[in-house]
Amino acid sequence: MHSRQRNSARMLASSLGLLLVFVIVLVVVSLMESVALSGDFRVKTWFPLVNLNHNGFLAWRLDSPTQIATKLFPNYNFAERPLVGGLILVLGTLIFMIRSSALKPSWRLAPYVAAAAAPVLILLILGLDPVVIGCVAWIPLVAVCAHRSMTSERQALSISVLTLVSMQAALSSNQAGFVGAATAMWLAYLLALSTPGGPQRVAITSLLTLGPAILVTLTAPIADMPSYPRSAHVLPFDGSYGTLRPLLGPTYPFDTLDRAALRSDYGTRSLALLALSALAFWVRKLHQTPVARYTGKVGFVLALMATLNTCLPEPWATISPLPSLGRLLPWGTTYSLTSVALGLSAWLSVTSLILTLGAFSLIPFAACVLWVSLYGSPAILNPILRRDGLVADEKIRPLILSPSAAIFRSLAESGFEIKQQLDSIRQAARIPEKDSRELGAQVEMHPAPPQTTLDQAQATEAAWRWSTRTGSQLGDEVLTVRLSTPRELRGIILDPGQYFTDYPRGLRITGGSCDPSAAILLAHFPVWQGSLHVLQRGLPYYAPRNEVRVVFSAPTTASCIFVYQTGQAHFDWSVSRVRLLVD
Amino acid sequence: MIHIFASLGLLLTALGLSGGAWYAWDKVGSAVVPAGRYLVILGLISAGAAIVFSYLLGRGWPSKERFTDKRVWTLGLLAIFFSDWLLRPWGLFKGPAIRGELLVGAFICYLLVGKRRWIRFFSIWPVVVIGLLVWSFHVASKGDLLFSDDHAMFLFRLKLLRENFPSIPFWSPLWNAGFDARDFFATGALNAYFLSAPLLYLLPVETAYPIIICGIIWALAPACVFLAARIVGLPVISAALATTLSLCSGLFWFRWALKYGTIGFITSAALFPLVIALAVRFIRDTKPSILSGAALCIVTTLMLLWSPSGIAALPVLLVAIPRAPQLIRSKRHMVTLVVLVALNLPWVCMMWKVSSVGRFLNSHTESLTMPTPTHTSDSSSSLTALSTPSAVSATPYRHKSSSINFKNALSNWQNNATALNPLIVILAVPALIAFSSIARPYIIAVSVWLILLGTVGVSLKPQLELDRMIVIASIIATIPLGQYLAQMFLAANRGILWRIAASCAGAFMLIGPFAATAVVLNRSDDTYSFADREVASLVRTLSKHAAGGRVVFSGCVLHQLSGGHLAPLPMWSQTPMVASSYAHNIWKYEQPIPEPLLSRGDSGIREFFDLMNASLVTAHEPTWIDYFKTRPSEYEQIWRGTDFFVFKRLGHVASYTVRGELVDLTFTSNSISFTPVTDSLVLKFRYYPFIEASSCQLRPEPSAAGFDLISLSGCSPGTRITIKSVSPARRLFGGV
Repeated sequence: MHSRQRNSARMLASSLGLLLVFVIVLVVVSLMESVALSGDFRVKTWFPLVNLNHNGFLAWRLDSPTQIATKLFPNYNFAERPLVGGLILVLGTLIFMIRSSALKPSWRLAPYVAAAAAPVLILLILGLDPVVIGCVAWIPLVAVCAHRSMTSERQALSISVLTLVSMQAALSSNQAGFVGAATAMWLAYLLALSTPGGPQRVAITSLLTLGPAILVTLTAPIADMPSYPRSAHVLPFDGSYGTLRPLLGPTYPFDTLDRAALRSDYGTRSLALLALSALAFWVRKLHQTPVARYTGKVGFVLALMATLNTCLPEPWATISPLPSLGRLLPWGTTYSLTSVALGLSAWLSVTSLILTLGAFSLIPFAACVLWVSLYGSPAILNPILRRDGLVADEKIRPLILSPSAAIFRSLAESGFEIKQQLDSIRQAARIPEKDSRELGAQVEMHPAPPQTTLDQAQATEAAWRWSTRTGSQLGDEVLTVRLSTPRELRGIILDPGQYFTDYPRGLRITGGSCDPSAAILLAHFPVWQGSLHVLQRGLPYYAPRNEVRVVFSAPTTASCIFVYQTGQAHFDWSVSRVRLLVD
Repeated sequence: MIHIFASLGLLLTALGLSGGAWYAWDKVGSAVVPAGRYLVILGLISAGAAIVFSYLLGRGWPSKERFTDKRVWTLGLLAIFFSDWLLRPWGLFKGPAIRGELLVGAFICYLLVGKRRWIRFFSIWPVVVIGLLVWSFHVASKGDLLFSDDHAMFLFRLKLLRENFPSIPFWSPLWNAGFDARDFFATGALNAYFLSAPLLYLLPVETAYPIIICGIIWALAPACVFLAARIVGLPVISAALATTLSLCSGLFWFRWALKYGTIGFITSAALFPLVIALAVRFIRDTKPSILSGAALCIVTTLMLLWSPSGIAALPVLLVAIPRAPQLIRSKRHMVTLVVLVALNLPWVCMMWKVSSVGRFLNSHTESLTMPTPTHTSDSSSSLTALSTPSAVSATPYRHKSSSINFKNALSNWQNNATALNPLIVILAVPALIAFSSIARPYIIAVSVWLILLGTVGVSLKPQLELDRMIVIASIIATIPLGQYLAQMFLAANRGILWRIAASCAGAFMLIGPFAATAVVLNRSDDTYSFADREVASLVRTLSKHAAGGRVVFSGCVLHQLSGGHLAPLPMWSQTPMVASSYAHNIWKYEQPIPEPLLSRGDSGIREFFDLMNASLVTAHEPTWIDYFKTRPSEYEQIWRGTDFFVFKRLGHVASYTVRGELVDLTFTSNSISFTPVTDSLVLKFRYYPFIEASSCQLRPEPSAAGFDLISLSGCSPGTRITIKSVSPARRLFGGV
């Protein structure tokens, strides 16, 4: 009788503990803004999803529990606010920790603390990111089920449960499924180290764990891409490498993942997590279990990889492990592998620390939370979400839900009204243009090489160009346009013609007086991105970089225009035609 | 020390010959090695020093192990990684970002190769790679039909073969008022046909075609390498490594397979390693089994159906000469040889007869050009310009023969080396030297011969496109490389340097297949194309509006339609057509309309269209588009694609006779049938001496179209007549 009462009391305490953890996670989730924007179903159950921070644009879908929740609470947007995923993560972490703690008796509250701390840390670092939560949510549960499948005597039941859970995990993590399933399988292997199953059981378990994830990865549809013109792009070019094409799997015609935003948003967070995981990695305890040891190690490695990707200079970051793995994995360049790595690292580091240090782990955890919170949540930092009512605007929301979200982000950052900015881009495209010769303008480039006989022979109408012909852009080239009479100008077009690689890499344009020192600044592009255009349905995009059409910030009456090429490249700077934008 | 100098000497020589000038990392700044010759000289000095030391120490000529130290040769892979090699155009590994993947690969391999059990991973790796490649092809195709360059033509050939084999060659009325369908022999289409026959008869050719291509590239080719490696005595792990390497041997393999669509060559290249392995076993066995003899006969015949492969395999015969007396005395060997000759003699004779092989081999074209027509606003003047190639800008085409030139040969080799998997470029030499198998002399001889053909021979006989031989050489080299790499991985436990060496090689081994998937996904310098919606739309238009006439493609068409040839269009639209070329058999700008008619202007063009019974004309060149658009009373635009316009000839009455009258004319791919109304007719079909009519007398009738038309006399009005080719046997032996 005494024993039964004790069991009942334990059950009650466990339930209360779980409830408390649920409440904590619910409160954190409700306080946070989602960093993603979702749309209606497009292909069966798949819907478009865009991450407003790093511009990851995907076709996404929900696991069965979330779909049920969506039907029960139609007013709550579970696609953007993955509450069910968060609760599944809580439950999974709790069970995983109980099982891990069972291998080595530890702090009694450890499972509950870990179940609350791990999701909270993930949310604080990455915000409400459906892709990360979707990928991480089911990992602990799958790991526990896979472990049971490898070691349980009730094989049929454990295999059935694993099948069900791994299918949900695959539905939840979608394109990132392989990463999640491989992590879960590895965790199951760690759990089973003390009681390994036979090779046949391991093989079946691996198949059931990885199979659904691989299947979903291979069959996931590509998100509906608006019909951008050929060679259009949506991400500002940072001046380092060109397009980085993935080696495997489907992709879009241009890069959608904003690496610059990824670096600015997650750089310091990666460092905070690196510090926490370093502690988990270096803390050595005599009786540390393999689970605690290896989760700590891998958590550290993942945080290190994320840090390398977000903190190294771009040319080095592109060959760091995460972007490289992203190019090797199907869909790896369409979602942010860095975010997923940070999410996994946070979960692994927290569980490892709690398993190793017990209650003392709360001190570094609190320090990490403080560090991360000091920089504000990712959602608060986002310029689109910061602008009141922007994503709620019926007209703007469908436009932002596209790869052009990155451009909307920069438009929102400028502080002006988005609709006005779109209108002014449209109007700029309609400004009439006139050839410099029609306006009687003289054009000269400096430095200019002396003309050879061959140059003169080749100087046909189609092949004509002003060019430095040094084989490179050094950043000191100037093109001067002298008008016969002063005119009011709205902009300038510097067409490289058939020399399409010879566009300027950076531009500074001054004008007005023919005295360069008295000329006023008309436009400045440290890195030339291509002209900004708007599709008919309102989506902004950058035209190919060899389309050099610059609209001045304000109409200017000028006798001379000075175009300074400020970039560097292993190509000439060539201008075949100079056209001026005049009303 | 001797092994370091010896191996380093060979490595530097190989790097110098393959790389030319070497720059560091991303090619910024001046060259680290200004020219390859410096490395070659340094290499020769180093190798020479090793030999001298060896003699001074009383050890004589250094053993082959001294020249193949795996740690030293791995420095070559590091040179590739740290130099500008990965940034060069037409590379399989496309940098600079690929360096990251290689680092990841090296890290994974470093973990794997230290544990002996994990080396088994490489045994299943080729299966995974094949899966990834096939999936990548599926992703790239999006369900569309592979149409790039000659793929369209091979599809057409397979359709023709399905309908007409074994009655080949034959006369087909589908293109250019009738053509001699005989290039099944010269292009090697028969080997792909034989291998894929069950599929071709079970499924529509269009459905079967992607399966056939994937089957040849990613099932037949790796299977042949695996079997060849096993036959020459390599263990499973080495054979698996060779197979993986063959799946990512170089960019040019995919160029010929996916972009150019030379399926005959690809099938032969795939079979080549197996033929060599079977031949080696056949030569070495004192009493070969009937099965191995039969396998050799079948596989060799399939390979030889792309005839230049015979040249490629010649060194096998040379190396086998010392064993000739034993082979001649062996009954089984002789029977096998007789069967082999009997299987191949008929088609070789037929090819020799109908394809004018001798003339092709001796064709000597000094300056064949592929000019670009210029566009002017005046349609009539630009048409005249089109008819005179000298008047338009011309770029020299590759088919220009010259004498032996080692500088060009070296340049050819360097271009090919960049496109090869660096593992092959760097490690093939030590792998061939260290190869311990009965096949060693054969594989060395064949490899050297193929590289000579691909570098030196290509200038002598450019029409044979012998640069392809380097692709075959790269596949053959994977067999010794498989053994060399397996030894490298197994030796990883010997020390940290061995482990690093194995990791470096393993990185290229792991990432190579991903570089290949990127090529298949059309993300490399070489892209290939699929039949887009425009092709289907064009076919529907032609089919709907042809109205009993032909379609004439104006101007010079090669790859303008979805990157492929026009060949299969008549079969899809059930409409015969006329074009300057429906396949890649012209090497200079050509109009379908002969010069005398074209120079007459409108009347000449009209006369040609009438002679061809053209109810529809297409245009893709600005001059022709303008020409048709500026004559709205004669031509009405009915369709427009990205490049092509289709115009209907207004007032045209479809008729296939110049003189006389016929009714109920029907086409098949190899004949026409009709009922004459008059007893003599002149048909708007091209006359060939090898065609026959079921009842009338045939003779040529000269025409303004530049060729003879079919003239029929003595026909019985109302009696159905079929015109088709005489039987192949009569064509071969009957002197037709």
